[in-house]
Amino acid sequence: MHPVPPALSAAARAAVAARLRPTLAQLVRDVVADELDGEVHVPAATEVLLRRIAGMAPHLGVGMVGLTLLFDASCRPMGGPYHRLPADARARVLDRWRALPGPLASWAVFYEKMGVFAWWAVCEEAQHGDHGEVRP
Amino acid sequence: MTTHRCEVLVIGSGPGGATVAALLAEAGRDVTLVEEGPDLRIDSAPSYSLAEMDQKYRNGGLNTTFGRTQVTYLEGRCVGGASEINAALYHRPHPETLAGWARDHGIEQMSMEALLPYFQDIEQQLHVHRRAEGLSPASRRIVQGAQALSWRHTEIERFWRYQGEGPRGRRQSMSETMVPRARAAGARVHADTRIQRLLLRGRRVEGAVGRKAGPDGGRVRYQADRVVLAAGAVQSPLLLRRSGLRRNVGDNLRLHPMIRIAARFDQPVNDPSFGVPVQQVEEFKPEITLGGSHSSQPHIALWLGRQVPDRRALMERWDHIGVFYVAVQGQGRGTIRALPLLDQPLVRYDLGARDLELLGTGLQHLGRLLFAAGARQLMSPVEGRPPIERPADLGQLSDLPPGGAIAVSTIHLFSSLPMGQDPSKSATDSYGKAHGFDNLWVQDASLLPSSPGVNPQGLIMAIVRRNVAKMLSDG
Repeated sequence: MHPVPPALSAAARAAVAARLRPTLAQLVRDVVADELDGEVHVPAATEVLLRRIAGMAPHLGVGMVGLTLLFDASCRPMGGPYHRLPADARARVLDRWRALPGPLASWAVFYEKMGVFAWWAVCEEAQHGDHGEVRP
Repeated sequence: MTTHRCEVLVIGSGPGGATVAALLAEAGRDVTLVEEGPDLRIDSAPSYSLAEMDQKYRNGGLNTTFGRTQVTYLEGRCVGGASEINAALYHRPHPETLAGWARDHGIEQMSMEALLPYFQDIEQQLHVHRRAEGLSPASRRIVQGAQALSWRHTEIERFWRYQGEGPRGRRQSMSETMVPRARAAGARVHADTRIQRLLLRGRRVEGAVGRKAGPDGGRVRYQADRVVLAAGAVQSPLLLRRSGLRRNVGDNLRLHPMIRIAARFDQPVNDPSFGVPVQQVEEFKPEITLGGSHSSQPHIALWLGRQVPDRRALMERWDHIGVFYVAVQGQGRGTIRALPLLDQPLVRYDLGARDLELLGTGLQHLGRLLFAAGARQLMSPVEGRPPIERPADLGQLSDLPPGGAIAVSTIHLFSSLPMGQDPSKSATDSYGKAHGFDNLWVQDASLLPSSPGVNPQGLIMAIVRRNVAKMLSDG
C-alpha cells in the first residue's frame, strides 16, 4: 500500500490558518486596493485563499504555507509582521519579493492573482447570490 | 477491508472511462466503474464558480507543472471527469494528424476513414450541435475580426442537447450520457474511491486496492478479470508508476499551452449567460488556435493584471471586457513522477523555445484580430508591461520571456502513456493494451501519441470506442 501521510489534526490546521489569516487578509486588501470599500468581502476572500491553500497538493500547499511564513518573517526587520506595516512598507516588501528568483516571485504572483480572483468571486457571489450563470 | 469482485474494473469516469464502462456493460460484461471524486449533478454548482472548483476540480483547480515556465493545469475530479468542467467543445481532428500517428508510431487502424464511424456515433448519441440560441457578443467580435482580416473561422460544435431542454439546452457531459448508460446496463459506479495501487502478478493484473472517502470509508480491494485504466493523462501514469511500472510511463507528457488576454471594447461584449464563446479562428490551426474564454467578473479581474491603471473604473464596465486566448499545439515534453509519501505527482513540463515562439506569434495574431474587431485596449499578458493600445505595438508580444512573467495554463493534457506498436517507444499497443500485460488496458487522453491541436474530448472518445470494439472482438 502506498503510504499516505496522516493529515494534520483539526487543531493543527486551525492553528496554521489562524497564523496565516491576518497576512492573507492584508494581502487581499493590498491587491484589490483600487476596488476596495472598507472591509467588504475581505474576510470571505481570505477564507477562500485559506481553503485554496488547504486544497493544494501537499508538496505545493506546504510550500505556500512555508513561503507565507517566511514572507512574514522577512517583514520583521521593518517592524512587521506584514499586516502591521504601513502601506508604503508593504508595497516595498511585495515589490522586493516580485523581483526574487523562482518560487519566491511565484509566491507573490500567486497572491496577486488569487487575491484579486477570490475577492471578485466573492463580490460576484454577493451580487448574484449564486455566482451568476448556471450551466443549463 | 471491503472486497469487491467484478469482471471488468474501470478506473476513472471521464470521457474515456465512462465510454468504456457503458459499451462493455451494454455488451453484457460485469463492470465496476470507480471514480475518485464525488457523484454530482451537472448543475450542482454554477459553472466556473468557486463552488464548482471546490466540488469538481482536483485541488480546487490549483495544479502547476514544475519547470522554468510553470504551466497551471486543470483536472476534473468527479463522476464524469473533465467533461463536467470543460466547455463541451467538439472537434474531429485533422486527418493528417491521424495519418501522422499511423506513420510515425505504427498505430493500426488510425485514420479518419477508420475512425469515421466512431465520430459519427458520438455526434449522434451525444447530440453534437451548433448553438441554437445564436452567437454571444464575444463570438460575434471574433467573427468581425476574422472577416476584417479575411481569416478562416468557424463555430465549434458542442456536446449539447436542445430537444426538450428549453431554449438554452443542456450540456451532454458524461454524467448526463455515458454514465447513466453504463448504470442502465448494470454497471456499478463507486464514487469517492481513490485507487492507490494495481495488484500485478507477472503478465496479469489481478485487481486494485484503494481507499473510499467519507464516513463509511476505508480500504477497498477490487478483484477483476480485466482492468481498464482511464484516470487521465496525469493520474493514469501516476497509478502505474506507484504500482511499479516504469517503462514509457509518464515520460512523454504533452499539452496545449494557452495564454489569455483581456480586451476592452467601447461596446458591451460580455454576456455570461452565453457561456464560453464558440467561435475559433481556423487560419493558423493546428499549430495555433484563437478563441474566447469564460469572462465572468473574477476572471476578467484576474486577467486585467496588476499593471492596469485604475482597475476599479475598468471593472465598473466589466461587460465591455472579454477574455480571449491563444492555444498552441505544444512542442515541449513533460514527465509525471510519484513522490515518496505523497499521493499526488510531481509534474514537470519544459515549455520549449518553439512553444514560446508560437505563443508569441499567436498573441500577435490575437491582438490583430481583437483590434480589427474594435478593441481599444489589450492587457499585456506579460507581468509588468503596460496595456497595448495600438496595433503598431503588438510586436512586443513576440518576445515572451521564459519564467514567471507570463501566465501559461492548459486544460488539455495527453500522451503520457502513448500507444504504438514498438514497446521500446510506447506504453500500449495500437488499441490501448498495456505492453507486457494480458489484461490491462489504458483508455484515456494518455494514449494520444502527441498533441492533436484541437479540443481532444471527441477524439479520445472515438479512439476509445474503436479500442472497445477491438477488446470485444478479441473476446
